[in-house]
Amino acid sequence: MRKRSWMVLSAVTALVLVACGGDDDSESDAADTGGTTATTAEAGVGATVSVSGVWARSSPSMADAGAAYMVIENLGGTDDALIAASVDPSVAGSVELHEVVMVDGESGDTGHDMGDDTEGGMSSTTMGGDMRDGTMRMQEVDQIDLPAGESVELRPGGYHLMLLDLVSPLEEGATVAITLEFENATSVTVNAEVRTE
Amino acid sequence: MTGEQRSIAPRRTLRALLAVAAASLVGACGGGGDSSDTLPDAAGSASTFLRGVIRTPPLYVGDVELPDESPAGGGEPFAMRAGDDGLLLVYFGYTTCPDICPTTLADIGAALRGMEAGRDRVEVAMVTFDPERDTGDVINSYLDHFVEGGHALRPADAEQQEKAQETFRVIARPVEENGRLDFEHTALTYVVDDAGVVLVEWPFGTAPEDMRSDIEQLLDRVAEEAHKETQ
Repeated sequence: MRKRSWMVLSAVTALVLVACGGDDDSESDAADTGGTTATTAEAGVGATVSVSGVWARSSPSMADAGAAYMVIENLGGTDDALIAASVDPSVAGSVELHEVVMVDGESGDTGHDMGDDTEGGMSSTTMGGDMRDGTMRMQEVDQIDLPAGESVELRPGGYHLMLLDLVSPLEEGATVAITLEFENATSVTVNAEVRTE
Repeated sequence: MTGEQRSIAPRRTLRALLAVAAASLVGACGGGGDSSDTLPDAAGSASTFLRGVIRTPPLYVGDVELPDESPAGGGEPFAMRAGDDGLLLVYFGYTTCPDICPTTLADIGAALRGMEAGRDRVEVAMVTFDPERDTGDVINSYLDHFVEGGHALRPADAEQQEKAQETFRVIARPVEENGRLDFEHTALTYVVDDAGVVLVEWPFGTAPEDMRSDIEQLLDRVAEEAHKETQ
């Protein structure tokens, strides 16, 4: 899964490099979307991102980790990437970029390679024969790619920011300031609304 | 193809689609601008269909008993069966899980809070993969954050844990990253009837309104069946 998306992203990167700056459509599309308050970070040479819908899940009293979600739109004509995030040390010890992946049962590996034993796995106990064992795993990623002109959603079950070593629980109704660092765009600080659902 | 066969096939297809959709929903996360909060509409248009996935033959889990660490449970064994004419929602997770477990439990909580009637016929149980760190107090207050009055189930030993996981076909593997222990795990929610039979299973990402739709249909169904039996 990862490999494939990398290939696609590489292809996108190549196209953008070739067509450098010629992509006006996506920029005007992007400007129309949103609706919620968006924070826009601007930097030179079209490196612009817009961040909206930022929220964090409220955490149970003893939980030492929490998750934050948002939509990041790359308004510029150049690919960018979210490379790091941080919060004040009074909130959490560190923030990691994570993704959740579906795991192949037999190999314990990620991706779509179907082992020879897949056939045997499609017994009556395998629902629809398509979910294999349906396990999910969370893993850290180095960066979250933001292709030019596209929106990337950080959401439950996908990419998310993981807040580690929470100093105190994330209480519903509170806000958490999160600073996002990008490969090209300048850093931006956004406020995550804490809610349970 | 006969009419009978035809009437069954679309249901199967729908369920398979739903399973694939759930898998691809996860797989495709972050890949584009699709910000839909619910499963694709393929399932939504057919209001009489259950949104979850039905396993054939269904799982029987009624023999699984685990200590219930909730205040009401008092550490006594809890059997995986709903109350009479009710439903029991069972989820396996662990309390240091920051994304998948809280999301599912919050969705279950939202589904139940939105019910107009029959809420008292639905119970929720969470089983921990991590009984070492998830002591009774920990799992109980964790579950309580999302669903009030749930059964906080903590296997007392490895044997109990294995039996529970095998019976539900749940898989959990410890994964250590950056010195932190997480679990790679099955992320289904099981809807169990009062005989201990799993009626439907919800993949991760099933929307609260889809859960509620299934719960309401199944409550009607179990009540009808109970009514027939007494006649």
